[in-house]
Amino acid sequence: MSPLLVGTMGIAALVLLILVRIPVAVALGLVGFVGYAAIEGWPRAGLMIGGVPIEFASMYTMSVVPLFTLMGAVAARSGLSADLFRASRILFRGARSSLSVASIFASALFGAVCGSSVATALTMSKVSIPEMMRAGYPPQLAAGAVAAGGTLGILIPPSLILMIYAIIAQQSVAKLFAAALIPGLILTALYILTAIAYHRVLTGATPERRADDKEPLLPALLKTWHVIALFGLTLGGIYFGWFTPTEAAAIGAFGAIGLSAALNRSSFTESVGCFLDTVRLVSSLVFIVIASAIFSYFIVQTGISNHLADSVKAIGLGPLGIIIAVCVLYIVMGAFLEGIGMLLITVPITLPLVLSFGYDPIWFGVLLVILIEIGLIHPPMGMNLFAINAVTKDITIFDIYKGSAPFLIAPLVLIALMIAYPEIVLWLPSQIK
Amino acid sequence: MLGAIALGVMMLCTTYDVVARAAFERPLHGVVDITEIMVLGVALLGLPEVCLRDEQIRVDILDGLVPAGVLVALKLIGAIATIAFMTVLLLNVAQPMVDAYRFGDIKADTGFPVYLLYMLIFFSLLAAALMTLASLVRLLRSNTEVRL
Repeated sequence: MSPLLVGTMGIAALVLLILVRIPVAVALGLVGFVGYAAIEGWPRAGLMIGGVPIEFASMYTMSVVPLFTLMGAVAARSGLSADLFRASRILFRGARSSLSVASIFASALFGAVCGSSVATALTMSKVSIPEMMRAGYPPQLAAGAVAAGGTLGILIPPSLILMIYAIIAQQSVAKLFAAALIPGLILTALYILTAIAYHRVLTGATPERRADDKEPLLPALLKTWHVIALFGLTLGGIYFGWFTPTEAAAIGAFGAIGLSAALNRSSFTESVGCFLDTVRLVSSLVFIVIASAIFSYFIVQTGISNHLADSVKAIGLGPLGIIIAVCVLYIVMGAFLEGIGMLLITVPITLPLVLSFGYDPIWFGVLLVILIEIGLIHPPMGMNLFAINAVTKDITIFDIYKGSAPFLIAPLVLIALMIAYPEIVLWLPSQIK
Repeated sequence: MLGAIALGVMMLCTTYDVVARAAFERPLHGVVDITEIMVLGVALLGLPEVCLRDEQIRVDILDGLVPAGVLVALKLIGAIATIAFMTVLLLNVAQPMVDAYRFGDIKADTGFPVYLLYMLIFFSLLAAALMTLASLVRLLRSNTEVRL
C-alpha cells in the first residue's frame, strides 16, 4: 500500500473516530501510531512514539502555556473585568450604543491579560449583560457584543491558541504575539462599528436610556492601572527584548497573583483554585499536543502535504485561491470542531500547503486565530455562544445566535485586509529587538 | 496538587532568575532545566484527574442525535480507546526509560537524571489509564443500575 493511500485512509479514520466521540488526543495518537507503523513498521513506530512525550511535554517553549494561563485565570477570578467595564463605560458614555461599545472595548483590554476567548466571554457577560439589559438593550445585541468581544481574548496577546500554534509550527512566540497585536486592534474597531450599526438597525432613532453617570473619567481610568501594568510589563518586556516569553509569562503570573492579593481581590483558597484549574487545562492541552506531534510524524511520512500542494497547483489554483479555500475549510470545520482540536488536527496538513504558495508562517498563524474566532461565534458549535447562554438564562440561545450573526462580518473584513495588506500582520514582528 | 506545586516552583524560579539577573547579575543556575522539569510535571501530573473527570477535548455533535443506549456505547468505546492509547504509550516509554537509566543520561545544567523524568511520564500515564478504567467501570455500573 502506498504511503499516500495510507495517509488518505488515516485522515478518513481520524475524522470518523472524532465524530464518534473518541477524545481528539486519543484519535490523533492512535491514527498517527498505526499509520506510521503501516509505512515504517512497528519497531520504528514504537521508537517514535516513545520519544514524543518527553520531547514535547518538557519543551522550554511549552512553559509559556501554563504560566500565561495562570495569569489569565487569576485575572478572571479577581474581578479585573468589572474594573475594565466600569472604566470603558465612562469612556464611551457619550457614544451611541455606549454599553455594547464599552463591553467590546473592555473585552479587548481583558484579552491583554487573559489568553482565553471563552474565559473573556464568561467574565464579561457576568458584568456587562445585566447592565445592558437594565438599560433596555435588545438582548441579541447584548449577547452578540459580548460573544464577539470575547473572541478578542485569543487574538490580542497573550493568546493560548497562538502559543499552541507556535509550538506545533515551531515559530517564535514573541513574533506571533507582536503579529497579532495590530489585527487585534483593527478587529476591536470593526466590532465597535458593528455594534453601533446594529444598535441603530434594532432600535432606529429611539434615544438610548442612559444612567445618570457623573463619575469622572480620570479616576475610573486610573483604576485599571493594574491591567495596564501587567500588559505593559509582559508584552512590553517581550517586545523590547527585556524578557523571553517564558520569563514574561512567569512575571505576569506572579504579578497577577501579587496584585490580586494586594488589592484583596481573592483569598488564598481561590488562588490555589486558579493553580489547580490551570494544571487540569494544561494537562489536557499538552496531551493533545503530544498526540498531534505523533500524527504530524505520520503525515510527514505519507508526503500527503506535498502531493496536495502539487495537485492544487496542477488545477491552477493560485495563492489567493488556496487561501480562500483554506478559509472556507476552516469556517466550515469551525461549525463542528473546537478551536484547539481543529488547529492541531489540520496544521500538519495545511501549513506546508500554504507555505508552498509563499505565505509567511507567522501571517498564517494569525489568520488561523481569526478563523477560529469565527468558529467561536457562529452556530451551531460557537463556544462563546454556549458560554453566554450558561451565564445569562434570560436570553435564549436563538437570540444569541441572531445577535452574533452581524459580528461575523468584522473578522471577514479583517481577513480581506490581511490578504490585501500582509504588513498589517508582518510589520510589528519585523521590529522586534 | 503536585502539578500545582510544580507550576508554583516554575513561576517562582523564573521570576527569581529575572530579578536576580537584573538586580545583582546573579541568575539562578539551571533555571532552564528546572523550568523543563516543572513543565513536564504540570503537563502530566494533572492528566489522571483530567481522565477521572472525563474532561478530555472531544467533539460531541452526535450527543443530541443518537439514542441514549448508543451514546453510552460511544462513551464506552471512547474510554476503551483512551486506555488502548495510554497502554501503547506506556509500553513504548518503558524502553527509553531503561536506556536513560543504563546510560546515565542527565540534564545539562543541573545533572538531574533523565530516567526520573521518564518515570514521571510512565507513572502519570499509568495513573491516567487507571483513572480512565475507573470512569469506565463507573459508567458501566450506573448504566446497569438504571436498567435494574
